[in-house]
Amino acid sequence: MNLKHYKLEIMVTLSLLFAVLGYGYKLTSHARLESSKEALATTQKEIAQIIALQELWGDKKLTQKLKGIEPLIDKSKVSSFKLSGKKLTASFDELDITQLNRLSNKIVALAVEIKKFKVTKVGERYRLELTCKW
Amino acid sequence: MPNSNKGLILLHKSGAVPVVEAQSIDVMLSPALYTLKQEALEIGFAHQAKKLAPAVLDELLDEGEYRYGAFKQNEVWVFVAYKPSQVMEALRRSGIEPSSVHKLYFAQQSAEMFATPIEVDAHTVLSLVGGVVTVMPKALLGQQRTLRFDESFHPRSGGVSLGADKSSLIATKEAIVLSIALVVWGVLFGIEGMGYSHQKSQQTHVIDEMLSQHTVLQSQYTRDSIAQKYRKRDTQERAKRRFLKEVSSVVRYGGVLQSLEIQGETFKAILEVKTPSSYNTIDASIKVKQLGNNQIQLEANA
Repeated sequence: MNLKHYKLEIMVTLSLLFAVLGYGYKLTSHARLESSKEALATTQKEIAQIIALQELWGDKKLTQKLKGIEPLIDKSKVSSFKLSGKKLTASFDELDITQLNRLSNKIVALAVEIKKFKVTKVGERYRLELTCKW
Repeated sequence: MPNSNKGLILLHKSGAVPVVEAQSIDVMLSPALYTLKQEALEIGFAHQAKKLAPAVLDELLDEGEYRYGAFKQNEVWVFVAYKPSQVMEALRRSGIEPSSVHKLYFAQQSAEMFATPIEVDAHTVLSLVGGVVTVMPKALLGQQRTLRFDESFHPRSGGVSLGADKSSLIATKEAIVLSIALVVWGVLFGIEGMGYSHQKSQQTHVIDEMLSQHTVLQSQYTRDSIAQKYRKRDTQERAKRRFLKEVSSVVRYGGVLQSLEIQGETFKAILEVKTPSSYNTIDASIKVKQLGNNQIQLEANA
């Protein structure tokens, strides 16, 4: 077979092949972009969430902030206040409802893990036992 | 000197001389296969003349599909028209495949070579009459000698393509236009594709930048582990705080806290309220239990 006789068909076929390959490349790139857009958006959101969670629950100044709890209440009412490492164990007695509120609001505002928060009414006053970690 | 190294044959209605067996040949048409008109027109270029050819030759042509050629000879433009179907028929009659024809020439292009008549067949010669190559009966020549047609008749330039390779399904011009269009499309698609690839790499760049600031998060495994740890803590601690907030709101509206305990995953609070029935629904996550004596118990889980 003399290919020269079919040079026009070969030329058109090769051009068509080139156009089809170009189109295929475009479609593949577009599909890759779309799927990566989705994957990257998910990854970006995930990383941002992790960073936010880390910053919230891994606050390095928590120890300092927790030290600020003790002065909120009269020393006479602080039965125990022990800060060791990343753990606080404390108990308060003879608290009125305002003092109890003040303490609980302070604890709630800090990103600590509340392990124990026990309030017992003794007469008209309250006793609070608190254990938290961070 | 001929401008081509391909074999040249002279094609007449009755056949071709000399007989050549080649894959690609040039063909010189005898005047029997074309119509010619000479005009002294002020035209600068051959392609302009070729465009004018249909109009110049119109009155000389019969019905049918023609192709045209034009060349300048002695300051006069020569316009030529030929029927491709007629040429192809003559080629086939001579045993030549139209697809093997490289270029077509017209006998008029080598007019001076026909000063001595050229024998085409037993009864016909081509001769120069008034500067025009003409088909003549051999009998008119009498004893005048004739020459043989050979390669020396090859014009220096000005050949035309037969137009279509007849084994092709598509004409040359259309094939070229179509090919160019397809290649342009291919290039445009390629450029568009590269644009998408570029956008993709830009997106990755944003993530890379974010990760470069938090190197510990580069591994998916580490990310999953950290996320799991903090998400669980976040959910549990938010539940505890929500519970405390609800208890606090009951106290604010006149409730008296009796006891409250958050330990492990269970949260419980007992409160004394004036109208226990009005606290039936507080928060979807908190169960309210009536204990009697105006007391309610709030209970929730992490």
